[in-house]
Amino acid sequence: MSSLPNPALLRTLLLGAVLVAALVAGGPSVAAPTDPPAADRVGVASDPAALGLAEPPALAPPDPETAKAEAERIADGLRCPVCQGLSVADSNADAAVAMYARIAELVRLGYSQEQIEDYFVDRYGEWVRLDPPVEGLHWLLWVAPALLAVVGAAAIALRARGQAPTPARPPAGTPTSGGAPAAAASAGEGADPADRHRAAVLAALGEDGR
Amino acid sequence: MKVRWGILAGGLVVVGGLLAVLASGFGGTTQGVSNNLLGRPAPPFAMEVLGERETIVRTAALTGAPVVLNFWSTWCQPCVLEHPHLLAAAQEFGPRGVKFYGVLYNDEPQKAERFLAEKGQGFPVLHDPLQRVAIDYGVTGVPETFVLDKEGRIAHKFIGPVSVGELQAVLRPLL
Amino acid sequence: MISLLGRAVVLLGLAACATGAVTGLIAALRQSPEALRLTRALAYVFAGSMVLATGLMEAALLTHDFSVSYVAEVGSLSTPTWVTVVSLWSSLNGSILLWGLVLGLFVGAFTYVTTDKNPLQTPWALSMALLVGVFFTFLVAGVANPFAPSPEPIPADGPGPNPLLQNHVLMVIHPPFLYLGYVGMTIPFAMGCAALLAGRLDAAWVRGLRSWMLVPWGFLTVGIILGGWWSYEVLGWGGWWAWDPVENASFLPWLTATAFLHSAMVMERKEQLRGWTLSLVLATFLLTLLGTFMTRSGIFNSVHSFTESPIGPVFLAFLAVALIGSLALLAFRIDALGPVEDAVGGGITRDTAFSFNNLLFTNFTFVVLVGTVYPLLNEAITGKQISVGEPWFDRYTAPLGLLLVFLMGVGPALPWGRSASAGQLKKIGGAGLISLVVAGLCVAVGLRKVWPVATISMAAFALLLTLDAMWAPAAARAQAKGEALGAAAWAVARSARRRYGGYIVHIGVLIIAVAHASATAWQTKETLTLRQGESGQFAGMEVRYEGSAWQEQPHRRSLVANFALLGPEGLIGTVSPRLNHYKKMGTPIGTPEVRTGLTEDLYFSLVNVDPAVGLASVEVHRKPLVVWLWIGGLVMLAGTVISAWPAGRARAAAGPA
Repeated sequence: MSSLPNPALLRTLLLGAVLVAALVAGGPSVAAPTDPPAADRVGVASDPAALGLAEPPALAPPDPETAKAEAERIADGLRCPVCQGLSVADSNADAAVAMYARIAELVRLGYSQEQIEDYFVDRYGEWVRLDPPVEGLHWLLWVAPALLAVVGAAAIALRARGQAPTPARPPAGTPTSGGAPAAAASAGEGADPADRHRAAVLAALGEDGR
Repeated sequence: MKVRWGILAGGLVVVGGLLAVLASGFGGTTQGVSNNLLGRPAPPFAMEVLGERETIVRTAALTGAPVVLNFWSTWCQPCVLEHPHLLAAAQEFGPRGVKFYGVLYNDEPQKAERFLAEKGQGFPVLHDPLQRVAIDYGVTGVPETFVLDKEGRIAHKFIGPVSVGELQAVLRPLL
Repeated sequence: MISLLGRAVVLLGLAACATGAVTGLIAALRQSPEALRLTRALAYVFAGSMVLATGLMEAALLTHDFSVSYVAEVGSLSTPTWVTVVSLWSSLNGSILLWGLVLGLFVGAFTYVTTDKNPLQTPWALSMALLVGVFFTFLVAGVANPFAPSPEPIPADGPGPNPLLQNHVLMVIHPPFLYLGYVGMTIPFAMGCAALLAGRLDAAWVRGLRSWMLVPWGFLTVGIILGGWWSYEVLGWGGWWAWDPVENASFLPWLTATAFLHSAMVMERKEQLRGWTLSLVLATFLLTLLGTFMTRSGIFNSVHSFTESPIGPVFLAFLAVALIGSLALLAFRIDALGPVEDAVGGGITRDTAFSFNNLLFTNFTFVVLVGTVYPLLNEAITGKQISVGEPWFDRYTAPLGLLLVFLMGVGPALPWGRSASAGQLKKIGGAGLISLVVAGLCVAVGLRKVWPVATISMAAFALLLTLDAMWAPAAARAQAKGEALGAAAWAVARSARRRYGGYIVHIGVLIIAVAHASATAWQTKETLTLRQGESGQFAGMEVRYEGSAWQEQPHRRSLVANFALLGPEGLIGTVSPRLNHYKKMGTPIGTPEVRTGLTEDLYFSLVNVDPAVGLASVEVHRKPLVVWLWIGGLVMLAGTVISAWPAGRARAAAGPA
């Protein structure tokens, strides 16, 4: 591989970046240093039929501010195809930049999140979604953590049953500090705040001194 | 000795499942991407031909004959390896009506022209500066090769380098 | 020459390890002091040979001895010396050798520290630790042999290590910390197995277990945070955590180890949760193995992982043996520890808080494990590849994290074993009220996102109660003994060092939670494409592109783009993010420039530069509070050191055996 920087390649990419920026902004094309008509003539025309999408846009074209936020939200949930687990929104790899441009374009035309995600799933497979939909086997993925939480909480509740704490019971298992914790415990409920604090100290010392 | 059979059985089920899943990971592709475009009309495009700025190839003009669309770049080693295979396939199927196009992916045109001058060019190469067509086709890396049938539907997709034999097997039934 | 010598040293280590594992077994079964002495000696031989082997590899790297295959793989005459030194862990085979070194050091230290006070468990523990050593030295001697001679002809120069790893100095310290954390978990595992095998888990052994867990836990904590920092400073996307399989791999054992550190307190205090706590010890080690397998086998694709290698299947086999062996050990021996009371008291007590703490950590571990492994499961069943990424992980981990922060506050405020008094409940309620006020203030100043505001509010709650738990005993002592408050605080903190260290760790976690939530929720980002001399607007500031220049270094060329930052009052500063072109790679790797501040970071990552036409495209991020992630990490480290620092001889002697 070439170790030399590649001015012409960079120029191409840069022109790309400029055009993408223009597309995202939805404004007039930024004047690029190389001659711009090429951009109008090549690539894909912006009418829905030519985008290779079966359906027309589901929504009316949004205003630019909403469009930007929407594009970012959608890009957050799609995986950059050449990166390692990064989303299209996070990555600045060329492919991610190109994907983001396409997302922004489709949003501006009024395509819904669902339509845009389907467009990418058609091309890159389910793999492109960072958040798998709740269907089929994926139910497992969605339900299992909650199930474990419920089972665990139930187990704790069951085990604790019949073990209700007795208010006067001294903390068990503090052989070193002898009677101190017991004294502390009984003093713990005492009216005198100083006693209570002393008890706290002794309990702390007792615990750590072991 | 008292044995906790419950722990053992439950644990073995979980551990066995985990190990089986991990073992299944061997030999799989690490970053495979499926493509649902197969059998559907190919996304339309209009791209400039490399070295002939005024010539633009549009999908509309491609129906009626099978098309081979090869995404490549000069910096990718497998692309260099598959180049002679594509040339051979173009030589065999070009006269029988199949149209071959290369699509330059994330690369500079001058370098591609130099590459083609050196290694031989059997078909036109198109320029996709923003990777827009690549995105439309779901390309994740190079080389990837799409075969379109006479009606302009995607009949086959190759990920990685193709050989003459593989192309023959896909193209012959389409003629 | 070094090839031969290195191989010999590794084989010596393997022999010592294998023999030691057997003599340890004999010492355990026959209660033989001679066998134990021999085992100790062999453990030292193992440690020594690992140190020597690593030294030989470093010598080979530094002298550019390309006849050693590993040097030919990662060495290069043009890399700076520090890169050459750290090349040891830049590729698979070297990193396994580093693993062996760290294991050798831990086993050596454990052998040195462990006295003969626990004649029942010690030989078992040594035997188990050496058994793990056998596996890793076997890897170094066999499938992952870094000392293998290079095939003829011996190259005159090598390609140098992966450019991503030579891009930042953090790469020097991040992997060793992670390894110290990972490999260190072997010792608690060996001790846990020893307790089960010997059928004895007494107070001294539990204390040792906790210390030997706390040390690698601290290293792992720092390693994970350094990894995030590296990602932030090097990778150029402006983030520190992406729920990438390899990040998850390091996080999983951290979670179970953290659960252990908490449940061990219950075990120490009340002799409860023994089986559960030992399961956490074993699980932690097994998860480090799983994590290593994930990074080394190539079945998960990730930034950090090494490419597909033949050690995958070998590792999986070892993982299987370790998993099944641990299960059998638990199932057969758990009752040998004596009557096990696995129940924990209920009611509004600290015991309950600990139970839920463990439930939450277990659940957290489960979520991360399921999310990481599920794509493999799905592919095995349906044949389709899917991704489980940040949105999924955030959905589950955010509430779990929030609940943990809640417990972090409530736990220390509740008494052990008996229901909380009205006063204690009132204190908790007061903190709750204040945290609601904090939430209200956030909303009032315009912070409207639910999760980060909830995090800030909950963190305030936990911080108040943590500070109170630290403060109250000091105030009580000052009052009881008539001491000055400072002196009393010092005396209390000294005598309850473990506890105070723990609280400080908690404060570090709270800082990180707030910083992470805020930085993620309130970041802004813009891509500016500028011509030379042109300015773009970002966050109330002007970013002007000043031009670019090439910078030549022996191992790389860098294209540096200079930007001036202008505020209303004039020049704020300049930034120079770069794109580095390494010999080995076609695509350049960026070095972002980060302007770090106490309240926010400005992050500049170069996307493209074209010197010929004077155009540059730069991504600018504004992220609040990022620096507090690293500060929080330091606080956690400080707390860990305070907590783990060995007690003085006198104190140790005074304590019960």
